[in-house]
Amino acid sequence: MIEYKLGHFEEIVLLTVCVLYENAYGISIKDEIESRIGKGVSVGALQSALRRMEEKGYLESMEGEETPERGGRRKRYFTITTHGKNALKETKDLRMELWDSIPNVVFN
Amino acid sequence: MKRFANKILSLFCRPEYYNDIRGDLEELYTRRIKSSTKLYAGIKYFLAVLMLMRPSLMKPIKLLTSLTNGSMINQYFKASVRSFSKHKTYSTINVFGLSVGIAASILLYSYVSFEMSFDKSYENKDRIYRVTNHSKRGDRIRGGITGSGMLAPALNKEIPEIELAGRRHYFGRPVIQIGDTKFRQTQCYYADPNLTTILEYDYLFGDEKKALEAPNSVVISKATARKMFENETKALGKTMLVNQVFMQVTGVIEDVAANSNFVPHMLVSMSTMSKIGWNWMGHITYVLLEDNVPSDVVNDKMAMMVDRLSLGDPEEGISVWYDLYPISEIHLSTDDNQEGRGNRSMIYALSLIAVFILLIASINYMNLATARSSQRAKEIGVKKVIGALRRQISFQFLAESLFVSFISVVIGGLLALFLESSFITMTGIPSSINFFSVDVILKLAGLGLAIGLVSGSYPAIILSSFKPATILKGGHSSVGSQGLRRVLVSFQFVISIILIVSTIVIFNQINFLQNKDLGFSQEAIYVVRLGKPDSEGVLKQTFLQNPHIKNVASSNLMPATGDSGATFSIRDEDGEASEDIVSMATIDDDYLDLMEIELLSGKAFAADNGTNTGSIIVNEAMVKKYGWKEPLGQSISIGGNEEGDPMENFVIEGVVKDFNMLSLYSPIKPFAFFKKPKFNWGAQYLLLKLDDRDLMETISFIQNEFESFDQGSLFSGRFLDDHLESIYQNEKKTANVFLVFALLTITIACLGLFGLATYSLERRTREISIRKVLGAKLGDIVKLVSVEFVLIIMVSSLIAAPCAYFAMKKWLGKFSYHIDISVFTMLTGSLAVLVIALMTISIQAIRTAKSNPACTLKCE
Repeated sequence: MIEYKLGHFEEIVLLTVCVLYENAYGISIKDEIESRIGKGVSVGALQSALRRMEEKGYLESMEGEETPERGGRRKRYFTITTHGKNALKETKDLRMELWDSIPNVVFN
Repeated sequence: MKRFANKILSLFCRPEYYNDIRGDLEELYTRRIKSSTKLYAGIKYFLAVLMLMRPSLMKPIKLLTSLTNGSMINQYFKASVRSFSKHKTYSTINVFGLSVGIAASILLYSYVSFEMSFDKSYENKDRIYRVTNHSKRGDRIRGGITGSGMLAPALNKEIPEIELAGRRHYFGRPVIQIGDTKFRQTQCYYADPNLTTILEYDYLFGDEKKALEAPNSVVISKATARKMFENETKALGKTMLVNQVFMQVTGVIEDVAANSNFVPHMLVSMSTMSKIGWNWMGHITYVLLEDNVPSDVVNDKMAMMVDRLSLGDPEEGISVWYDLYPISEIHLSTDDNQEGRGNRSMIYALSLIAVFILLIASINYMNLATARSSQRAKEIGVKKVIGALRRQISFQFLAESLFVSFISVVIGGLLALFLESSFITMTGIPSSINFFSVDVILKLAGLGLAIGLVSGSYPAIILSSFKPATILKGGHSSVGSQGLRRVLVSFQFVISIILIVSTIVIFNQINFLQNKDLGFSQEAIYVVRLGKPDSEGVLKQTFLQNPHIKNVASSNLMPATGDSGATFSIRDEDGEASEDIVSMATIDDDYLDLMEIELLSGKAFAADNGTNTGSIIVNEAMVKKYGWKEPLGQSISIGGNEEGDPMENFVIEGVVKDFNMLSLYSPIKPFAFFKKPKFNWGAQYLLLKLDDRDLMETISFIQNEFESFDQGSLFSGRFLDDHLESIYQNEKKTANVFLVFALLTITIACLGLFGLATYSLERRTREISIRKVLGAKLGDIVKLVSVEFVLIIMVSSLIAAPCAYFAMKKWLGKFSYHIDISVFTMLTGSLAVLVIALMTISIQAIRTAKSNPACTLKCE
């Protein structure tokens, strides 16, 4: 049974946060996703996904250093929580299970 | 650009996210400036801001949060649901009463709004008028909608403010023959092309301008086309025999809405009618005025036209005038001349009933809520101690009443949907509400809100005023003025008693009308409508050969339907001559005998067959009106108005007892019977006196003989008493509507009473138990709890009696023959209510009184 609710975009964002490890803030996440899927991601879509997952408890955030290119504003770094990891794992497990159950003939 | 975007962002973005988002945007912007132009970066920035407008990032809207954020609202809702399900009896009483009330008002609303919607949907409805014709001859003023056929063409020509004038004329109910099938067509009229333009008829087939131009052209409605030719697309160009004349279908129009005053099924071109002159009456004229022309202006111009064309005759004392009547007001017109078929006072009465039913149901809610207040007192006290504001407590109770009222609206709506078809059969209105339209749903929601606020505000104010200290100390009893509660209950019963008394009066009146001696016999008389002119003689002989047909007579008048009359010059006892219109019928020898109209003096002209042609028989009312001491031998005359038109005298040969040939709405009028053939308006009806054996066989004999003799016509016959009964159809419907709603009100009122009684008994359980222990009997205890309500109902009857009396007096006023409202009727109504109420209370009282005192007292 699926206990965690994770949308497709949310999953990608969450995974990207993991990929970036300690360097995951708004723009870096955006760049990373864009480079991988080859499509633009709007700040709005990303921010709302991040906040939503923070509310669900998949992500934690803390303020980082301020940079001049941000107009002197601090970066907000996101890290995944255990809850978030569980969600990712479960999603992955489900997928793997499904992949494993596919009869060989299908992809031949 | 960037600054503007920032402004927008700061307006809608949640403050806690603002800095992060702004930072991200800035970073992107700086990066973009490096790689491309500033403008491009600016536009991107701006677009990004717009893309940020999504609910999860937006500032919450203030108004919304105060409602939704609110654990308070959730709490109110939860509290409502809990208190609703905890007190099932009260909730059921409230919801049942309210939803029945709401269902009833929805149905009444549909009736009322249908009646109000007549002729309101024309695009030019403010410019369409119907002409009322007035004429004065001597001191007799007559008014009506029918008038000369020359009027419409004259108006078109003479008055520039009139864009179009059109007319129609009743065609009768022609027999239509298409191929071999024959049927009688109703709602058939002569009309000119202008009429269809003025009334905005929608032509599906055929040319609007030309369809009604040529003689013997027919335009039919879609439904008629389907009836005649199965499909409206096939109708155009087809021919049919209309009263044995060939006519061609030149147009098909969309069916005229049922909420129109004039709903034709078939229109025959006006040019089919020959020789229309100023004296050719019976035409109804409609006009379409130019934009922004007040009707007064046209009224004045019409008066000038009358002078110009010298339509009146001042020397003879004849004057003529016309005025305009707006088409949208015809249906509910109270002006007798307009022949509006709607009933304005009925609509008012029903609207009032709808409001009252809702009020009564709301009162139930108020009374039960305040009466039960002691049960809620602790809850309120604790809430207040914890810190609830008075406003919040009020809100809670308002929320509860809104909760109940919305549930009731939903149930009531479903109930109305379910009962709609039977309501339509009962009232005969072809209206239907579209329950799923936005309009109706909004109205229902508004209704729910209104009911919730009305019934919830009083308990909200009362209950929130509790002082926590007093409540929590204990010893608190119910609040809310007992007096007010009594007043509200009396109000409920006043309304119930008025309705019940009215219903009794209406039923009595209908009974009275049906059983009133009309002065002629109605039993076993079968009336056959004749087709071919002068066919009555042969048919009469044929019919008389059947042993089951005892007598046959002919007349031009169907009893209790319409009136025929002519202007006579009559001399009264002092020899003074005056002109008067006398209602009359032409009859043959056997008529008086067959109808059992009693001859008081003189002789029926049956005896001297054929010789005494200039004789008439009059009724008592006629004798009384002219004060004749010796009526026999008096004469009245007709004709001689125009040159070459000989004066004809009719000598009174006999006087008959008064009888009511018209309807019981009107008093008995002077009436004269003329004998054929000297005065012959044609016999349109044959009346057959049957004996009571083999009725079905006799009737089929009549039909067969008629059809083999007169192949061009359709047979139509019915029993006279059936016909007389059908005249009071409308009154019967009124009576049924009143009966249903009277029963509803009393049910809802009694529900409330039941709730109140239950409550007051619950509170007095201990008292009753102690009384029982001390030796009170069942009767004593029932008396103890009923006495208050009996008093309330007695006071209510005292208030209701005069109201009902005056309302019903007014209703009865339109009948010339009516019952008197007796004290007995009033008492019956009040007693009925009292008995029902007592039964309601007793059910609970007896249950309480029978309970074992040991059970109720042991917990002390």
